[in-house]
Amino acid sequence: MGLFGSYRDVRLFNLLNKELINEVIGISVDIYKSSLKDMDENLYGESINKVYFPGVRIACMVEVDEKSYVSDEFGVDFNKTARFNFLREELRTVANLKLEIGDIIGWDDAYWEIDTKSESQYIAGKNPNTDKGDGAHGGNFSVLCETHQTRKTKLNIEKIHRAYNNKLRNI
Amino acid sequence: MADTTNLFAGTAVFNPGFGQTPFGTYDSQGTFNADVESTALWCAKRLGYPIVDIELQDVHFFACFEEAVTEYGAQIQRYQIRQNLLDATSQTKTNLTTASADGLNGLINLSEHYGAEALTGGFTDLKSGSIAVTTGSQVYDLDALWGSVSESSNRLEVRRVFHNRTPASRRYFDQYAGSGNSAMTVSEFGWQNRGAGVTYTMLPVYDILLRQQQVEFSDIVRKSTYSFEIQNNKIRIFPRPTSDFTMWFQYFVKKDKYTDSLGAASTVSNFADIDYRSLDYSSINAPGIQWIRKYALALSKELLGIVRSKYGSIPTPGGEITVDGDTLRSEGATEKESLIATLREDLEASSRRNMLEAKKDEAEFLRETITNIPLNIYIG
Repeated sequence: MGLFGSYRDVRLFNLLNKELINEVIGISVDIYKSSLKDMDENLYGESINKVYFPGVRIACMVEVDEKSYVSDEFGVDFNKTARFNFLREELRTVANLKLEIGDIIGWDDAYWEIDTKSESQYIAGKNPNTDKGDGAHGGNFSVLCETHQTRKTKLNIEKIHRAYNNKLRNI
Repeated sequence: MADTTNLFAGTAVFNPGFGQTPFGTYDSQGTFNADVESTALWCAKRLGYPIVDIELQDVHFFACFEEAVTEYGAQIQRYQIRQNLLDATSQTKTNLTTASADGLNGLINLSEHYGAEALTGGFTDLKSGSIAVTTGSQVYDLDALWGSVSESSNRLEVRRVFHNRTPASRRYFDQYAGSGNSAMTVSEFGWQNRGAGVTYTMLPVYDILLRQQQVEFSDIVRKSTYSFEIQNNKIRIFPRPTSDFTMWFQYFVKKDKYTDSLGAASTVSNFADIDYRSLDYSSINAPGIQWIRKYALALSKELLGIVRSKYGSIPTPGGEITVDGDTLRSEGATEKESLIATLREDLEASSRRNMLEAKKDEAEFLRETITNIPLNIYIG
């Protein structure tokens, strides 16, 4: 049994973070989970056209990296990565979903695909669900997602008009 | 549904008698129930609610308010005890919470103790004893002759020994001292105002004084002095007795002086047992209530700081932050000290001494002012 990190302490941390994330920082994102049963897969088990459930809005903390541009035989493209840090308690109580690699996060008029997911930030170094002790101390606190910005056109989340812009063409 | 039981919910509903205040001392006294609720809401707002969450619950504010009332009462009554302890010591325990002492009782009580030493009062019996003096024997053991026999061998403190020459007033009629005022002698026997068949001569008082002085001077110059010494229970009398007589003395039993100076078990003896009780909330005036509110806020601030500073930093998803716990604790402690200092200053300013000084100053200023007012001159 530990003296620190009891359920009261963990609850206090969660409350402070809820206030911080929702009211002080106030950044909300939409999470889109893929709907596997609605997707058709090919011979290799791949799905060309992905289908997603409607987005669920939730607050989190975001760290965005600068764009990096790459130039190859297809032209100029850019890469942009970001980290979305979620409070696990918020995911559980507000969104009621489990994040997985490949899920899409909508934020800043762009879509971000989850590349990696980390769930190892423990309060007092303990995860009560796996702890061999009394299971009443510590907490699995956060879900940290490394993402990259993905093209809207391949997501089918929103309608994208891909025609030429006449005004631009007439210049 | 999010678990928000650690947060102030925005309402404060006080149910007296249900343990919402730790001690329940003031529950239902006067406007306590309403004040504790309104103060809780006020404190929460002063701490930033509802813009920011407050990691306290209504019971915390209730506890702070109760403590503030108790602290106010304690400060007031500690001051009152300092003012009144002298008057109340050795007096029967009486609830002084709303009573005021007159300030003279203690002095009179002290005087009684001094009176015992000066043989003019006090609480200890001054007893009388006697020994049989025999011709030619000067030394007598008071302990053996009186203490062991009459006082169970307790130590005596002899305060007066009646071993004197016959007073001059009884002797100035003898052949050596002259004679004359036989009416005085008659009076000594209670026969004054009666015809006793003796010569009655009207003499002035100085005549009597001169005669008595003449007798006393004669004794001093011509005869041995009547005196005594007491050492280690033994009294030695002077001059050597030439007749048998009974010599009386007055004494205290030493232990009586000590035990009689103590108050009874049911009386006030010290700072701790003088009967001051918790203030009745309904008797506290408006300035007092305001002090209590401010003190409750300082306590709340300190308590919130304690909650927020249990951990040096609070984890956030992917990082950590430092909250304002230490600042709140520091501010709360400072405000508490300031409030107590202010209250003590007020109390000191209202001490008997200071109020009398203020009155004296006021009277002096008034007199000076009046001196400068021109007097009216009437011309008839």
